[in-house]
Amino acid sequence: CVDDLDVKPIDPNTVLSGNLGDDPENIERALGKLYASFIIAGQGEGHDADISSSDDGFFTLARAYWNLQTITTDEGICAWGDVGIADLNTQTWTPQNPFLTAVYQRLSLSITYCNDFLNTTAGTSDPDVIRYRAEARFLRALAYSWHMDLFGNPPFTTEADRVGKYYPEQIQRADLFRYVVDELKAIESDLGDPGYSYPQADKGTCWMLLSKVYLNAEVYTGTAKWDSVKFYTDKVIADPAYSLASNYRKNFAADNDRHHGNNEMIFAFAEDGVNTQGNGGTTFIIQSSSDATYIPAEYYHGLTSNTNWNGNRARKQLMNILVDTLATYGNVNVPADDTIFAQNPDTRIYLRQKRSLDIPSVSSSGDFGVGVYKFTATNLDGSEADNYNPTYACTDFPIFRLADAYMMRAEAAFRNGNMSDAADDINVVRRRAYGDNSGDITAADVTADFILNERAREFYYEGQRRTDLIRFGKFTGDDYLWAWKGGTFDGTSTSSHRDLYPIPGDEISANQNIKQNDGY
Amino acid sequence: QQVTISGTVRDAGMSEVLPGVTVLIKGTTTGTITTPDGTYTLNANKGDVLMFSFIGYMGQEITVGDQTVIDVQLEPEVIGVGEVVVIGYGVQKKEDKTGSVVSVSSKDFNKGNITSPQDLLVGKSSGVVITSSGGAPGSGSTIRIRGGSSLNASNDPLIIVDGMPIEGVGNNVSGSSNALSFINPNDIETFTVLKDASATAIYGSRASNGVIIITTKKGSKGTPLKLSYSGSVSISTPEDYVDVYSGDEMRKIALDNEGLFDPTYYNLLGTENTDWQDEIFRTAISHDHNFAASGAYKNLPYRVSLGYTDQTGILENTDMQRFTASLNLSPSLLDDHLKVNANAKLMSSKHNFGDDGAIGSAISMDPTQPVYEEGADEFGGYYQWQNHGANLGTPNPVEQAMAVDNQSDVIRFVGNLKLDYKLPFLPELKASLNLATDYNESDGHNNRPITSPSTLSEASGEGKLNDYGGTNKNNLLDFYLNYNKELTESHRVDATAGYSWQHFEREGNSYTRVASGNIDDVKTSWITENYLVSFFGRLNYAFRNKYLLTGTFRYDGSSRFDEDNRWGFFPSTAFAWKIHEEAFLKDVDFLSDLKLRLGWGITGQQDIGNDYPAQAAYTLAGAAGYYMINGEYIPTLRPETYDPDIKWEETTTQNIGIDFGFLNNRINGTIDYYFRETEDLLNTVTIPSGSNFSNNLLTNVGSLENKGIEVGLNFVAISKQDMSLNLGLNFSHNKNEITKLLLNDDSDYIGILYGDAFNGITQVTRVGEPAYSFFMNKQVYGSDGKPVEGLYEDLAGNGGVISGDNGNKYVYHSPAPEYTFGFSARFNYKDFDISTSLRANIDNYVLNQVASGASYDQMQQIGYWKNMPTHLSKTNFVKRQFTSDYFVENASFLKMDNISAGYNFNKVAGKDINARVSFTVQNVFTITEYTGLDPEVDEGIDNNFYPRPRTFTLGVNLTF
Repeated sequence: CVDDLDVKPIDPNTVLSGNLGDDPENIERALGKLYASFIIAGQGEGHDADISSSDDGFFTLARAYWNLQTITTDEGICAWGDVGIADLNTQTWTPQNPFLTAVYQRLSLSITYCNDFLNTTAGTSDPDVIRYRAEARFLRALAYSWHMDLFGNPPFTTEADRVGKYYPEQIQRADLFRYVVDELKAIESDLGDPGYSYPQADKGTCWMLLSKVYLNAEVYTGTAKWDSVKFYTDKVIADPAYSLASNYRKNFAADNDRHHGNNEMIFAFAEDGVNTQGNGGTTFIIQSSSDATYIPAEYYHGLTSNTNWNGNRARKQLMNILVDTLATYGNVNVPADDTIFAQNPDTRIYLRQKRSLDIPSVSSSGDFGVGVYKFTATNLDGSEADNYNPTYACTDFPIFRLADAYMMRAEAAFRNGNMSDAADDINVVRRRAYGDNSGDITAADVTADFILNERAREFYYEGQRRTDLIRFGKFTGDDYLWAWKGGTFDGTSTSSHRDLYPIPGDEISANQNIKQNDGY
Repeated sequence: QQVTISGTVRDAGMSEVLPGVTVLIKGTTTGTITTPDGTYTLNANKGDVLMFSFIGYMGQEITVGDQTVIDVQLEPEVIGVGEVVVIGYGVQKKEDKTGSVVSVSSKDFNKGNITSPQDLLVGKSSGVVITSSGGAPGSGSTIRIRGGSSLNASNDPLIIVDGMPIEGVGNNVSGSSNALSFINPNDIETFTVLKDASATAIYGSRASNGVIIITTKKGSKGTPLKLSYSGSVSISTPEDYVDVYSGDEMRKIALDNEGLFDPTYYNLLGTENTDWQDEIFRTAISHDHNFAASGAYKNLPYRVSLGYTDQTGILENTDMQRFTASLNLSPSLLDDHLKVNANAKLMSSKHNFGDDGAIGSAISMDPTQPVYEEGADEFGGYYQWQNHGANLGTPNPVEQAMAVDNQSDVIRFVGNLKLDYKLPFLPELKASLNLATDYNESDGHNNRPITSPSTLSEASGEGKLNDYGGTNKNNLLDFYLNYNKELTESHRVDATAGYSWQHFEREGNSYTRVASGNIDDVKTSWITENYLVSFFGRLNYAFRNKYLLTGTFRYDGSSRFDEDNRWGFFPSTAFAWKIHEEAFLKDVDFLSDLKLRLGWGITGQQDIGNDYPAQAAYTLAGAAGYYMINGEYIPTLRPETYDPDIKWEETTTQNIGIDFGFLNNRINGTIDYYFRETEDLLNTVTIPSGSNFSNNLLTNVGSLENKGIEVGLNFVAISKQDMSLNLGLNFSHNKNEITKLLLNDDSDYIGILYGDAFNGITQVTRVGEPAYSFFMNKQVYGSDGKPVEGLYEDLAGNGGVISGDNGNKYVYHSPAPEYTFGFSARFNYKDFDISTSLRANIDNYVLNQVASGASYDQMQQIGYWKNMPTHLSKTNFVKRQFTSDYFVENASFLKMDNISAGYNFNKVAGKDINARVSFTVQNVFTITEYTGLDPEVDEGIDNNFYPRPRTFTLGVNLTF
């Protein structure tokens, strides 16, 4: 009877590590988890989250990441009183901030999931599994690149490390840069061809991430890599699998995926009203930006259940970038009666004036400020999504769009002094926005500020702003002030150590090998 | 040759005459009873033996000689001597016990409308704190013996019913709110509480939080059929309501404070004065019937009982019906060499849980609104706030309470067969085999109609359907040998050794979907099991009946742990010295008992919630947790955290105790001091990122201590023929302190924080403090003595935001009481009796979250208005101050739990029927300075729990 103690789980929903290979579908299921860990809370229905936190929905990776990249900048400000939100709004966060803690822990967790997948599939000769392994290494590199961007010096583990109770070593930012680049180059040939199996990562995705880390190489390592940006963006732009969507909004609607014919979408984390539900990702962006008065989700997005969270909106400064008041309104303030900026020829403006453009206090109601409804849960033509759900959007969360390849190549060209190449690439993007060449610019118009602003116009609310502002030296300091930056109405200078987030206090307590970032 | 004998019977000590003494000629049925003046007359033959017997006195036998007058003095029996107590795998004479063991028998149980066994025991034993989770019908309780020895693992004691360890409270089948509800309280004979390790260590890895052994009633040999019926009718009423604003007061606050509110929403205020609490609470009538037959048919003692309880809760739409049946057979076979004890208990209950969320809603719901609204067909005729997106209005409490269909059916069977075989060639050696099974099945649903608002059904206008069920199976085999022999006059040994095997299996399922269609349906099911295999032994050795030595061990194997950590060894030893047996105290007449007890032992805890914490496993996602791979949505497979090195928690207990008795034990008591230290404490800690499959891991990292004093006193104040008064008092003090929490020591570590994003962090478990201490901002008070809103002391000295900042919070008391007292009294006069139980907790603190959630800015929400407790008029806070220590209140209390009076009628209608009528009041009064509704709050956070009603019960007992 002592042998009874050798139990194995009897629940058919539980698979033992050693039995993973018994069912070939398990490999694909485990691969699915590597992707899902970026976009939903856990194993379904918002319950059973991967990490424990005070709220499953708040602390999904895509949602907390979006907060760190957006509401800390001129793009967004959140009205909610939940712990940690005001800190992000005003760049006054501490190592205890639950959003940065969640992002840090979830990125490491996704890395650990990938390490485990690589261990369980080691030594395979199955060509499909070899491709899956490359995808796992891609996702690990993506997670490390976000770690590198946000926290600089994260704990470093690979499939060579065990699972249990131990203290991973810290890696320095520049070393991590080299690791990410080497990994991406190493897996390139094993990945599927561009567009091979959206929403899974493929060669195009790999080139985009390489471009992205090279774009920020100077921030990460002190050495710029503009030629490498050009090398990989060239590959993306030249590939026939990708083309700009004719309508900008196609990228932010329920049918924004490649399966619905959007060849601009290189990589996204998939969301689905039935199969991949969560209160993070685009569901969060849409619901938190909706309110009962100005942007009711029922009307704007076809979501009728648990709607209108009335939290996020843009600050006035973003509006000033998007709405070219010089060209449109003769350099005067936007008239209050033009609530939707209808006179502007740029079709990328999905903004709406709320009660007032000014936000009277950091936590004042979401009815103040500039409403954003760029993302939507309906299809581009307003029809209902295929797997429609009144609570959850089907809109995929974009990570890499082809437009970004053009904008990154333009920036590299600008830095290398090729102003007309830069203008050409920018004009590709602007022609789609204006519908014709009326918005074209010339080589003389290309400045650092113009590129940074054009990136805001093209990519606002896509979780890129903080990284862009840092690369142009405008995130902290007093070069660029926006409402409530630093905690004052007009904005005030903040310390440059905030270009990096602190290592969370939980991690400092838990791992003696991790040293806090400077200034915290 | 017959002679007439007469005489007087007196008490040997007091020389008072004793009426009612039975005088019987031995071996016959001839006899008499002494008259009120203590005399008797009877005819007997020379050489007959007269037997004098009287309750409370030692019997005497006198052989008839030539005398015709035989006066007798009876010696009073020392109270309690000769009683036996149940211990693990055996029984022991009470006077020989070496550990801290308390036994509470039926005559001392709490009275009244009691449907749950643990309520019988509340306040009756030192060191045992029982807190009911509220007043809901059939609700369970939290039982803590000597504080908790764990943080993350279970702190519930091991409960053993007729030899069968039952599944822990945390592992109840879904739809069952009380792990002990299968036992009809009327069937219980005794509770035995094993407190220190020397008593519990024989249960090894499950014994760290104490053991409660429940023994049910049996038939006895040679007794005729006895039938009994007991029935009662109870009326329960709400004791009090939370004081909230009336409609008029609310309108006045709104209109007087235009600065605080947006006047454009004034049109949302209604004209009513609805008392929502009055609408959802009611006076409830319950009744209870029990029938029992016991006796012996030839050599077969039996007891059969049937019980039916229909309990109605004071919250509308809450009730419980329960049917219980039990059978006990205890024949002796093979010339008394084989004793059989078979028990079967069957329980079937129907539980209507209603929605106790209505209690909170009744406090928040705008009193200016009506209950019903004409034309509100969309909401089933109830008034409801319109849905404004995420700003969801308070649901109509009456609809919330009434429209829900939240019921479960639970069936449970617990049976065991125990065989004790005395070996014919070696009668002092006994072999025991116990086979037991526990089967528990539930089937429930929790539905909302489509007319319920979206706050309740999660999707507006779509309703909710949820079906769930569960099955728990628990099987046991115990086999042990017992050798009990008086070797010489000076040496006595009682040795036990055995083997135990137990298997627990639990499964459950849940199916949720909207009532209007089939989207959003979520089906889940799970199944899990674990085994415990054990070897155990005990040796009791008595030298000259003065020096008692006990040693026990248990070698436990649990399937929960990896092979290398699976087995745990749990030894204990105890020594007792019966000092009063020593020659130098023999002649001290007033001292009837004096015993010193010393005990030491190690116990464990393996009930950590997860059956496979050491195994690398993957869990498949449920619906909505799918991802698209190769163009198809497939369920994802997640690796789960595991700790390959996880093992038992170990608690080392040291106990020193004194038992004493004076005046034939009319005054008796015990005093115990204990020190308990838990090591390898299982704690869910934040682990280094990247080292495991989550941010937290349950692992052995910490340690904690409990130390305390317990005193129990019993006093037979009056003991006369017609009158008696028994008093009982107990006192306990326990101090809990965390001594280690992390993998590596970090003096800056803030501790484990508890709370949520909404209410803020309000509790902490931190080194050097009691577990679950309150963690608050330090309120600053104005010169008027009132708290200044939002102003807190800057404890960190860094300036900046202080409210809600964890770095600026401090530890401010804990929910656990410093001292607890229990007092009970029982008075008899002739056929009349009265008894009562009182209880006091001193320095238990409660966070009054009902009050801390109150602020003016919350009264007006987007699209609706909200009521507040009138406590708000004391603070006048505009914004909520969830983390102010102002709301942590000293909730010391004195409660009279029950008072009961009864009258016995003998020979009703001239027949052999005895009747008893009793009247009981429960929850009689509470004296406290706590400002909330009830200072007795399980876990210390008062957040609108189901209030405990005041109950009046009329009971009848008939025996014939």
